[in-house]
Parts: sequence; structure tokens; C-alpha cells
Amino acid sequence: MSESAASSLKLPDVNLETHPFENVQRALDRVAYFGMYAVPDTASPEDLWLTPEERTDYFGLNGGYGIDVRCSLHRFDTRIGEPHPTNGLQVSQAVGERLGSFRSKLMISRGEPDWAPDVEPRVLYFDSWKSRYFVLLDTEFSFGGADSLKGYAVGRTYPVMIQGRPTLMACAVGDLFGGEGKLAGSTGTFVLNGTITPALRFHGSVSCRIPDPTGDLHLPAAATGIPAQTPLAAERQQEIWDTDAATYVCMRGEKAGPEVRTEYGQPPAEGLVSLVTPAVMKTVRFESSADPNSGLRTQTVIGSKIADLEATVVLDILAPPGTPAVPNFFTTRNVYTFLDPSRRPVGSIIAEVELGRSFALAFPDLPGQPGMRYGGFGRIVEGTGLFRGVRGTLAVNSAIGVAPHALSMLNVLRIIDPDRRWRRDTLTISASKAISASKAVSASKASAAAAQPPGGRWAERFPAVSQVTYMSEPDEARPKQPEDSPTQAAPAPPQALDLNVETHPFDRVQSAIDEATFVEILCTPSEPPKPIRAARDGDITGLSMRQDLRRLSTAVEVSEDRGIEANNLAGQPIGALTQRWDFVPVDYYAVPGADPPTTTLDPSRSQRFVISDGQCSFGAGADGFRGFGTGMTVPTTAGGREDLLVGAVGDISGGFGKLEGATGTYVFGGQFSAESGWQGQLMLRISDSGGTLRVPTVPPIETPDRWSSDLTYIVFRGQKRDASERTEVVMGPDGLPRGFALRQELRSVDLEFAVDGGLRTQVDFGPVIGHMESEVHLDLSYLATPGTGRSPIPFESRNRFTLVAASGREIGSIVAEGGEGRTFDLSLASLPGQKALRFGAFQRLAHGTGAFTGVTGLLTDNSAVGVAPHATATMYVLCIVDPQGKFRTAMQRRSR
Amino acid sequence: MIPRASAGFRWPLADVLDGSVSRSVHSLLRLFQSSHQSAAAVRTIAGAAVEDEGFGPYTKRQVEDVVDRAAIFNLHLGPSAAGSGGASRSLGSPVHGFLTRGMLAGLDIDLAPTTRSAGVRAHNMVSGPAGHHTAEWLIVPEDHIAFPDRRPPATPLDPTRSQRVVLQHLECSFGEGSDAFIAFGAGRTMPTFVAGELRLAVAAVGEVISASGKLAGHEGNLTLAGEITPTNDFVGHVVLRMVDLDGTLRSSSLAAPVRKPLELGATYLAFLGQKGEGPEQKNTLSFTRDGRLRGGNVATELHRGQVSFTVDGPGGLTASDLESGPIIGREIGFGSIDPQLAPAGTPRSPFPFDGVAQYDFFDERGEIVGGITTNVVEGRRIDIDLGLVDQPTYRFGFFGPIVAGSGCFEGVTGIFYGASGSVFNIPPAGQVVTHFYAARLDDPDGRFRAITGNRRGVSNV
Repeated sequence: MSESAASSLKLPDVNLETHPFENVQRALDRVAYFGMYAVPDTASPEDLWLTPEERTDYFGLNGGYGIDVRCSLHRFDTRIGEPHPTNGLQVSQAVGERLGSFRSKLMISRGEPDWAPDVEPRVLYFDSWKSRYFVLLDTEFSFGGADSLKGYAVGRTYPVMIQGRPTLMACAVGDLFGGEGKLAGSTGTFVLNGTITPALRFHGSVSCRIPDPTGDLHLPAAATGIPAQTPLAAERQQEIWDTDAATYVCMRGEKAGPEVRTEYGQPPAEGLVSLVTPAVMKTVRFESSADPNSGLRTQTVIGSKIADLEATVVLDILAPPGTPAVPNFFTTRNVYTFLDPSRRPVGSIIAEVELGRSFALAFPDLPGQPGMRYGGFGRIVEGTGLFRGVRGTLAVNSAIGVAPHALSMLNVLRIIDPDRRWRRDTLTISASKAISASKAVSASKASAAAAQPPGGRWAERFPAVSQVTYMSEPDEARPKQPEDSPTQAAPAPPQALDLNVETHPFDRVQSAIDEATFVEILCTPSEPPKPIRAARDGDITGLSMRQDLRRLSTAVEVSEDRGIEANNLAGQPIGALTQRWDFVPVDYYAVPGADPPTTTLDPSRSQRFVISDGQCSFGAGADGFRGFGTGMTVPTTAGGREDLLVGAVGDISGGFGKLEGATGTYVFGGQFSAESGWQGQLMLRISDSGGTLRVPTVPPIETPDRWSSDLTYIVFRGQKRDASERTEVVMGPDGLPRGFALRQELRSVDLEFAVDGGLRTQVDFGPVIGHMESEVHLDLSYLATPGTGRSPIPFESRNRFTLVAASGREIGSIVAEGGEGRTFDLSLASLPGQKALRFGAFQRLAHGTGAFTGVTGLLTDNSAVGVAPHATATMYVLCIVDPQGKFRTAMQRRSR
Repeated sequence: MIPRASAGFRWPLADVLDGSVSRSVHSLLRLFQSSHQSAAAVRTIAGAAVEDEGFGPYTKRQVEDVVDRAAIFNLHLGPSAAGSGGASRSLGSPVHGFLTRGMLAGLDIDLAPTTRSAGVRAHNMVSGPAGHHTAEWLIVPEDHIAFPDRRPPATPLDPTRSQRVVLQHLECSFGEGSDAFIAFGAGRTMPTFVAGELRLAVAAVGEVISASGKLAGHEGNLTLAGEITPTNDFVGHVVLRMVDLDGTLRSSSLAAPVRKPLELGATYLAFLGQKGEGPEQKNTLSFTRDGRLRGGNVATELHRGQVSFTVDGPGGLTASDLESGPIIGREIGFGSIDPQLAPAGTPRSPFPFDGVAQYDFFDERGEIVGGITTNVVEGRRIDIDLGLVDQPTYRFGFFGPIVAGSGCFEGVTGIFYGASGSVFNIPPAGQVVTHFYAARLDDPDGRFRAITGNRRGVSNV
């Protein structure tokens, strides 16, 4: 939303200066930060009890419905080197001397708990495999005996599989109150970011942020007085980091200057706003002491910039100020782009605060200045560049001014790091013993790794076992707000949807969605299909088929004198395709692995079918993929001739060989009969962000034979001319958006590939040969929901293709409509936060004009698009019933 | 071939019903619901002491005698020897289940005397082949309500997550095959890290829906715990508990079949939980600090108890009588109560419950040498009529992970499970229960395995 639009809704300008920005920044930074590490204390299991006041109430059994958390709090020194272009982050982290203790009763809550200090939630049993909300009751921080604070918090566990080892992460955000000793009268915010071990102990980062306007607790950065940290013994450090296999990235966030504005973004839901806040992230560490002689003190040491942050905060900005009894809710999506010394990005980490609580903050020296302290946590949802695949959690413990929007942020990324990729353990672990131990562990790990993949035998079948993966569903990790909560998640109002907004520049999105390759294949039956018959009456209900695969080239030329011509050249054998078709009712919801209802083949009418057990292998069979999809038979009649055409769309459910881990879509169109099976063209699109499949040149097709068919295939590419070609939302008669209108230019394309020596492809786009106008009917609310291989998003469209000669003269046009389309989410690794989709579809051809007059057939569409901006990359195939070879090149016509 | 039950029955999931109840305080719930009493009123009821244990016209001994009329079969399921019988296989692409086939054998689990130095250990002996099994395991969505006559939606297996699983069809046949049963059940996978690799542990509670031969006419339930292997096999233990009012399935003199040590990376413990005497054995209620009812507290004594069965004796398929041995430990436990749940448990719709319990084991001097804490994450209770007038009578099965260990069990991981029979009256009135408890401990180093050579009746084949 623009500034003017925000003003029209009477939203406050958070950039106005109630007091000068610098004054507000200074006031925010008059704070005592204690960045600590919690190490479980030595209480025996028998001592741990949730209801210590009543040992005969067995509800108190530790680990049943809660956990008795008892930790000692230690100094925690994390130092981050400058991000390296190839190594990324290099963090030294060490746990130092004891500062105090932390004790709390972690009670599992059935659902997201209300903020209700001292009230036991409706309980649920602890489950280390499932994400659970919890509250922290009877929380007490104690420093050096006399100085203490009480607290209350809400939190959540996140199960994660680390190379075959189930592990439980845990985060919490809480309010501090009831201070005593030097902390008398203090309030503040605390967050936890760590892990619950199999022995039900909490390990991890604990930060307390306590406003300190009088400077009783914190020392200026330049002051001396707090001695350097004394790390725990090397063996103890080793033990801690073997238990907590994570690297902690502690960062300070602030605005680059008062001129940096915070803007309103797209309103996420009624009553909520989003604020887009740029910030710079710097290294930070904390020197703290609980020395009884000098009392509790701390010092914040801010280092150099290591990342840019773009935070999108969702909140009810008009809500009354949050209080310790009724805090406000917020969520954020933080994109951290780490920069090397040359200020070039080395990769990004995207993390979401899914559970955030904020409290009003007053500044004694700045009357009338609004502000808030807040904390929250959530998971790392994505990494790009060097951080691709990172998993972990984020906890924030921060404060901001509101008008002006000054920031004083502490963000702690806890990156799961079993191989210590992001670690440099030499700074404060001075004992050489620790390093030796570390090397010994590494050597041991290496030896074990040589024996079998991380995770063991299951990893051979399920590669994810050897990686770091979240064990809970994405939607399990989404906040479930109370029904009346102002932050209740809701789809964006469709009226506000603008597909042309540039999350990233259009050209970059276009390049990213073009990071793919296409394989065009001719499929012909290698043997008669094996009918699958109903036990009841012997009717055919499906077919098992095997096809030979051959290279296919279908380049098209459009000219005034020859009209539209495509060479349909079939080349050398390149593999095999096996698949099973089961005919299904038209409204059948196809899911991989399900047994579809028995449906008899009826060639006289259009029928849907499910494609299962599909396997496509190339060459000797080393490379290939498995797939699942659906299709439709389409009886056509033209010129007294009857044909049964088929179109289908499928999703790669698993790849092998060079296609291991591949994602992609395939579509096919062709002819079908129960006696001879299916033959036709298969167009495969494989995401290839690494460029491993594309090469500059591929040897030309070998021994093109006189393959003949009653169908002619015409392939061309569709894309927007440039960013100025806008996609407009189309409104339905009910006043709601029903889809969007799109215009593309069409280009000729040359697709080549080879399998000898491994799968290699070549994709070359040629000149413009026409244009396409389309109206796509798609429930836009789906755009907030991922389309997956199991549950793709359906869509329909009506496309008019117009082919023109180089002179600009229209040669013919034809419409594609009906059919079936499926949409899947597409991840663009190089563009964090960019929504993108891949499509597959097939449609009937009709309403031809010019050269296409009277033409029947099918269209297949294999595409990728960005969403905001709406860059598009489509591979179209016209599958035309053409027994006379009218659309073949003259040479091919003669050969027929 | 055993005829399949035609009527589907419902296996609701605890999370779906959004509630839970203790396996031992379930009849409280019935009372609470029928009278719509507030928590405060419940306190009053609980406080109105009922001095005797109130089994109506029956003595406690009589009730125990009826409840314990059940035959326990400890089955060990595993793959068949290569080349014998069909092979197990995964289902679908992507994998959404397993069809496991293999042998069925008797499993004898006998606790060795507990000592401070050796801790708790058990002999695990397996008989020769006693039959065959086939099982169809299907991964299902978290909120799926399973029926034996309905195919669930195909859901891909993901060994990196704990997933719900339906035991769509478990068929076990004994001896030559005439004695057999078909069961249906539900449970979950539990990925576990053992000896440096991921293991896919699985546990489920099931109901016998059809039986033939000697088992015909007996109702029963089972609980199983084991592992799905990367080669698609199930290896694990099934506690089958068949109601046996007329004693046709049991014998007090059973010839011990030839046995050999069970070779596994896991060790099984088995023992009994029964109500003892004294105030510490009384059930009580648990309340939050603001007076809301949480659930109930239950204590039992743990006893040695060991069973075996044979298919070769003169009576065919026969289990040994379950005899309660000396006290070896104690159980303290809690079960939650959700007054919003309908109280009845039927084969079609068993009553779900959950809880937490700690099992402490004594040495010969009565001192605790170690304990395990377990969460019952899935329990299913079925109301039965054993002819005890006005006595709420139940059979049930349950399982859950071991969440903590102390003493000799420090660091232990595994699954705790069992099958039980009970008559339960409102606290502080009495309860009769016999839990057949079992634990499958991950034990790659044999830490909990007793040396088998000195055990009576053991063949070291």
C-alpha cells in the first residue's frame, strides 16, 4: 500500500517524529540486555516434579503433561565473522561462567494458550514428535541470589529430524515482573530459543531485556569493568554443543538512519496492517556479570554490519497499547540477506515470528513518545544461496519507537548445524583439548558416514532422513489466533490483489522461472496394452502400458507463403515409459496411492483417467522419474473422421539418477485406443536452478525417420513482452475476482536433448510468431495455499492463439478451452519470498480461423509463472488432427 | 479363512475428539456427565468417604476371579525365512503403507531377579514357528477416523515424522491355520534414533473383529509394539488378550515349547500391575490450583507375571494361566479427564484415553533401583459384560513412549504398552485391575537382556 493509500485509511505515519529520532533511539538503547545460555542443572530425575507442593498428585510426573525446567544461566559469547562468499557465516560460540538460575514449570497446552499468567492451561500430554504449545508458569530468574525476576511466557515446541535423529526445538516469549534486589521495580521481556533434550532438559539461548533508564544495570559500550568471559571447561563445552547441535547467530537490528522510512505494505486482513521495515543487522555480544561485589551488570557490544533485514510486521496498529495482562499480538516475516565484506549478498535466511507479544513502553525522558517492547519466535522457513536448506528457529527480543520508528532489536537465529558448518570453535574455547575432541568427533562422524548415509538404511529410500527436516506440517506451525484476535490470519482481500507488484524485479523473476529445461518426447507403444478388467463383468477399467521413447523435434515456422508448418521429426530411441491408466468418474478426486472406483472404459464419451505407477527412464535406465497424474479422453469428429484423443498432466513424484530430487511437470497429448494403447507427444519441464541439465549445444537428432501420424505437433513458447505487460484481475458477475487476463507473445522454440552420456538438453527461443490472449479462471484465494503434488490447484482458461508472419499478417487463430489444469507451488531459490507456480494443462482446440479453420485437436500447456510480478514462461503444444499433413513441412508431406 | 465382520466400527482418534480420560478413572467421567456436576461438587463427592470398596454383592476376590478370566498370548511377529511364504512389500508409489507377512511365534518374557548391580533385565525367548501373520499397514492423515471396512485416503509415508497408521487388516493363524483371528486397529509410527540410525518404531491398539477355531466366540483386543524395517517387514510383539470366561483357552499345566533367545536390538520387559492394599493404593482426584478437575491419580503394585502358549499340546492352541508373582515394583500414574467426552466404549467406537505413569522397580530389599516414566498417548477402552451386576467392567489396550528413565533405566528409550481388564468403581471405592504391561526397550547393546543360559527350560539352540 502506498503512503497516500495508508493516509486514506487514517493510519498513523509511524515515521513522524514525536521526539527527534536520535533521542528515541538513545532511549530505546538505555536497556540492560542479558544474552545468556541455559544449561540444565544437576537435579536428579526424582526431584523434578510439576506439582512440588503435592507429591501425591501424580499429575506432577515430569514429562507427562509438562516439564520441570531447571537451568543455570551462563554468559554466552557468540562472535560472528564477516560473512564469507563461499563459507558463509563463521561463528564462534562459547558458554562462560554462571550468572544465575532459571526455573519454570512448562505446561503443555491444548491449542494456543490464552495469555493468562498463573493460570494452568487446559492440559495435553507432552509429545516429542508433535509440535505443542506451552506456557511457562512459576518462572523465576535469579542472579547472584538477591537479584531476581518473575516471569510468565507462552511458547511452542517444534520437532525436527536431524539426520535421522528426532530432536525437539523449543521457543518462548514472556513478560518479566516482580523484580527484587537490584531488579526491584524492573519489568521486561524474555525469550527462549533452544532445545528440549531426550532427558527432558532445556538447553539454549535465553535473553532478558530490561529497560534501564537510570543506567543501574548496563554500562556504556566504551566502559570497562566487566571482565572477559571465562569459558567453561573444554569438555563441558563439547558436551553442551554435542547436545545442542546448533549455531547461534545473535544480531542487533537498527535503522540505517532517520531517513529510512517504514512503509505500509499490503493489508493482510481486515483490521490489520503490515509494516515493511528495512534495517541493518550488526553483530552483537553481551558482557554480563553477577559478581556479588559489583552486583548485576551488563554491557552490549555492537559490531559491524553483516546483513540487511526486510521485516514485514503484521499487527493491529490501532489496538490499545499492550499491557502485561493483555499484550498485543503480532507476526513477522523477516528476510535476512547476509553480505560479504564487499557488500555482495551471500544468501538469505527467511524466518517468521509466528507467535509474538508486545507491550507498551514508556520513556521517562520523552513524554508522550509511544513505543513498545516485544518478543516472539518462529521457525526458519527458507534459506537461499549459501543458506539453502537451513532449518532452525528465530527469537526476537526488541523494542521500537512509534513515530519515529526507531529500532532496537535483538534477533537470535538458532541454526541447526549438526556438521558445524557455520562454526569456528577457536575463539573462546582456548583449551586445545576441546579442539582435539572436536576433531575426534569429526573423525568418528566421518568414519560412520562412510559406512552408511546419515540416518541409516531408511535414508537410502527416503533421502530426507539424512537431512534436516521439520517433523510438523507447515500448517501445524501457523499461529491459531483466537476468533476475535486482531491478528487472525485470513486470505488477503482479493480486491487488493495486484499480480504486477514486484516482490523482486520482473526481469529477475523471468530469469528465475526460465531456470528450467524441457524435454520433448515421442511415445509409441512397445507392446499391446494389458487391459485391467473388472472382476464383476470383465469390462476394461484400465490399462497397463509400456511405450518406447524417441527424440522428437517439432520446430514451427510461420510465413505468409507457406502458412504454418512444423517439422515433426522422430529420432533415436532414448528410453521407456511404463504407466497404468485407471478410468475414473469425472468428479473423482485423484490422490496418489488411492484405489479409484471401478469405472468402465467408454470410448464413445469423454472420460477422465488416473495415471499411476508411471515411470519414465532414459538411456539405459539410470536417469528418470516417477510420476502421477490425471488425464482425459476426448472424442473428436472432423470431416467425418472420428478420433479419440487424450490429454494429461502429471507431476514428478520422484526422480532418480541425474533427476534425483527433480521437481517438474509433464503433459502429453496424443491418440488412444484400447487395442493399441496411447501414442503421442510428452512435454516434460524440469526445474533446473543449478543449470546441470542445460548445455549450449546438443548433437542433432539422429536418423530422423519417416515417422508418420495422423497428428501434427506444433510447439511454441509464450511469455510476456516485458514488465509493462500488465496482468489484470477479472471480476465476476458477483463482484468477486474470478481470475485474470493475460497477454503473451509467442515465439518459436527449438528443443533438443540427448541421453547418451547423461541427460542433456538445449533450449533456444526464436523469433516472435504471434500472440495469445487468455482469461484464466482461478480462485485467487488459492494463491495463499500451496499447490502440491498431492493437492494441486485446479484452474480453467480460455486462450486465443494468433499466429502471424514476420510481416505482421495474421495467418490463423485458434481457441483452446475446457480441459483440465493443475497448479503446483514453485520454489525460486534465488529469489527469497517470491511466490511462483508451475502449471500443467490440456484443452480442446476449437474456433479456428485462417490456416486453422476447421482444425480439431488438443493443446497442452507446461508453464511456470511468478506471482507478483506475473512473469510467465509457457511451452505450448498444439496437437492437431492432421491426417493429410497439412501442417507438416513440405518435405514431410511428400514423405507421407 | 476367517469371515470378516460386516459391520464397520469406528476408531476415533484422541486428537479428533479433543479429549482424553484415564484408563483407570473412566467411570468417574460417566458419573460426572450423567449428573452434570461441577468440579466443586465433584470434590464433595470425592470427599464423601466410602469406607468399603463397594463391589456390590461381590467380594473383591470374586471380582478379581472374573476379570482375570482371560487368556494372554504373547506373539512375536517377524519375517519368514527366505523362500518360505510371501514377501513383505511396501504399498503404492510413493509408499503409503506396507503389506507385511511372516511367521508368528511365541514370545516368553521373563524378568530376572532385580538387583542393584544388574538392574532390571529380562530373558526374551522365542519359540519355533507357531503360525503365520499378514498385516496391512496404511499411513493415514492425522485427523482420519478409521473403519475396518473403509479404505483410508492414501497418505505418503514419511519416516521423518510420527504419523498415524491404521492396521487395516491383521490376520494371525496358529498351527495348521484353523485357529486364527483378524484384528483391526490404529496407532502411530514413532521415528527413533538407535545405534546411529533412524528406526521406525510403530505401536497400535487393535480389536479382534473375527476369530475361528478355538478362538471363535471369544472377544478380545491386542496391543502391539515393534518396528517397520527398511525392508518392509514388521518385527515386534503382540499382546493378545482374549476374554476366556469358560477357560477353554488356558491351562495350568503347559508343556514349554522349544525356545531360543530372541535376537534383536530391543529387549522386552513384561509384568503385571494390580491393585494392592493400603492408603497409597487408593485412587484420588487431581485438581488445578484454581479448583478445576484435571483427572485422577492411580497407583498399583507391580508383580512378576509370565505367560506362554503352545499350539502343539493335546488341547491345541492353549495359553498358560496368568499367575501373579511377587511384588517387584510400584506404579504411580495420572489420567486426564475430559467431561465433554461420551463415556461409553464399544468395539465400534472405543473410548480414548491418555495419561502418564511412572514404574519403579525394587531390588530384593525393596529399594528402588530404577524407574521409567511413560506417556500413554493412545489408549482404547471397550466396555464389556462379564456378568457382574452393576460393576463397570472394561478391557483396554494402550501404548506410549518412554519419556524418561532413572537409575538403571537412565537414558532408556522405547515403547510402553499393554492390555488390561478391570472393574472400576468411583474413588475412593475400589478397583480391580490386571494390567499386562510390556515395554519394548531400544537395547542395541543388550543392557537389559538377561543371560539366558541359566534359565530353566531353555534350549540354547
